[in-house]
Amino acid sequence: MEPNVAILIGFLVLMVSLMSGLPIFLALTLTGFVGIGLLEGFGMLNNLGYLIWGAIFKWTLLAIPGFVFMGAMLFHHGFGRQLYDTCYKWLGRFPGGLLISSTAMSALFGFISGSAMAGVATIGSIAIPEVEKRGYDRKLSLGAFTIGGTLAALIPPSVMMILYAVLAEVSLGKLFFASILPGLLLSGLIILYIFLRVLFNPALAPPSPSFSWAERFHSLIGLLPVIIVFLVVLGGIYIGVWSAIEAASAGALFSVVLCLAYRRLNWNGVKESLYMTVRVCVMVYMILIGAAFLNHFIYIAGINDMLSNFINSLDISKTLVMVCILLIMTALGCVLDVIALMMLSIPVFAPLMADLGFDLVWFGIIVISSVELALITPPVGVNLYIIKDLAPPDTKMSDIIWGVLPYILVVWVFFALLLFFPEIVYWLPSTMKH
Amino acid sequence: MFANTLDTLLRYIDRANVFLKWLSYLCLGFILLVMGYEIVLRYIFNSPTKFAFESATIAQVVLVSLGAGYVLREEGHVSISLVTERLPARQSNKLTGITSLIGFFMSAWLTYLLLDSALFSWKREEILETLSIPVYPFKFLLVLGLAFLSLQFLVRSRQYFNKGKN
Repeated sequence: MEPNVAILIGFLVLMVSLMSGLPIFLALTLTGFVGIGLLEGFGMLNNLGYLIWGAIFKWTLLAIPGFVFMGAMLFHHGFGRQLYDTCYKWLGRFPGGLLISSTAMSALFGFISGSAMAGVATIGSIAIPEVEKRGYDRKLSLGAFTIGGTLAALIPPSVMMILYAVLAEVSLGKLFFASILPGLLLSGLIILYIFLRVLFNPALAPPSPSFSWAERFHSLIGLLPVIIVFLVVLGGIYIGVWSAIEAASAGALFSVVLCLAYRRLNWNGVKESLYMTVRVCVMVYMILIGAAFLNHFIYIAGINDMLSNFINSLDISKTLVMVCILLIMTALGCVLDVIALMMLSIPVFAPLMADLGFDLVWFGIIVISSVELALITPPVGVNLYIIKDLAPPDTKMSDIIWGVLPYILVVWVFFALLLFFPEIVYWLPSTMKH
Repeated sequence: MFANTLDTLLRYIDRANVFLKWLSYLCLGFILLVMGYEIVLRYIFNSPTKFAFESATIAQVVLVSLGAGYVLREEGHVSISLVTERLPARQSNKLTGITSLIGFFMSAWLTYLLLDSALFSWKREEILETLSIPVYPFKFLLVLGLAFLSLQFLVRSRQYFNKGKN
């Protein structure tokens, strides 16, 4: 069969299977099976069993259980709530203080838990009743909580980064450090947007009570465990003491020690953390198996060459190609889940980016930020639904969608800054010891 | 009669996956301990082990294979619910029943492909690079895990079809 026809059928199979609710790993596997079968004959599939083992027997993936367990232990033993109190006591007095502290908390929460959904659910459940009580503008607030959840993926360690590093074959340590400044920049832009909106229209967010310096400094105790783990894990990678994989295991063991030291260790928390870790590992690794079949199909169909030839024939600038890719990913994010989008975009776009001379670590930061938009773009943006569940009953979904739209523009400003000032990504990794 | 026997069988499969979950937790514990041991030996005693990385990598494969069925039981695999959420409950349950049945056949196919690859490793006497032990027992464990995953899809399919009837 002609590759073009097989690609079209493959795309249809993928869309139908994803929309029917088939688990993503099976949708990817099915698409791979159909595509390979159409191009090389279905008998050929019998020789591809090695792809299953090869997809998950990778020591680079060992970072996932370590980091997820570390985050889960800190999360399930109550260290998240303390973070919120600290952020609120320090940032609450600024215009739109509750929203600013929630955004700062979302960024910090990214370190505790790489899961955007856990972040938005935790922060939403704490902060929504507060903003309602104080009479904050609902659209501005709900938009801030929805976008805040996406920051987790850009703050190391995040599962998205580990997946990208494995699929694009780039250094995980470098990717972690490359993401720190962009993560802070995006948080800063969101905070700036809230600050300016409230500054020019104070009715959007009535002032919050102020706290004494003694109360503020006392609240820093809540930050201490996170700072310690941060220094052990990322500090160790930065000065070249250990690799990202060793840091993940050290962080996991250290989180147990911290829970013991703070006398918070309990069986329920451990059990929840074990399940959360096994769940994330199973989900991600099974998707990697599906992606192995899909990637084989992409390879034999020559999709990368086709795309590369097409882009070259257009004779447009590299920046415009990047903008087109971002637009495609934002559009796909409206109908695809974050991981499905990641699994589709990396094998197709990463080789093209490398051909065009883009650095794959820089591209990784762009990909991770743009796939996170899938969490907040309707109709499948999971964060929208989480916030809808947590919001007061009379809240309409359209309020949340209108609320989050200006923040999507903020993310596009962020993309523009990364495009024109790539040093934001390169600088920190360039100062690393190894 | 057939329906009762099938339901009993499916109940046992469900329980087996709950039991396998504990084994997958053990694998996670093993990974963290063996990597912790490696860190202590490497950075405190300056004498790294040869086995830590490879045995932890093996353990993560076993963790995934034994936990896959339980994670499905707890609806932990990611899927897009855009269509199923908008359908009336009966149709939504029927659609999930059908996709679970497709899941059963697809996972069974994956199991067969891996079984073939495991038998090939056995015949070729493939060994792990550092540990110098055969690969095939671990591939067979992954086969077992995938088989339980496909059977859990069957359990799920039955449950959703039953819900769709009511």
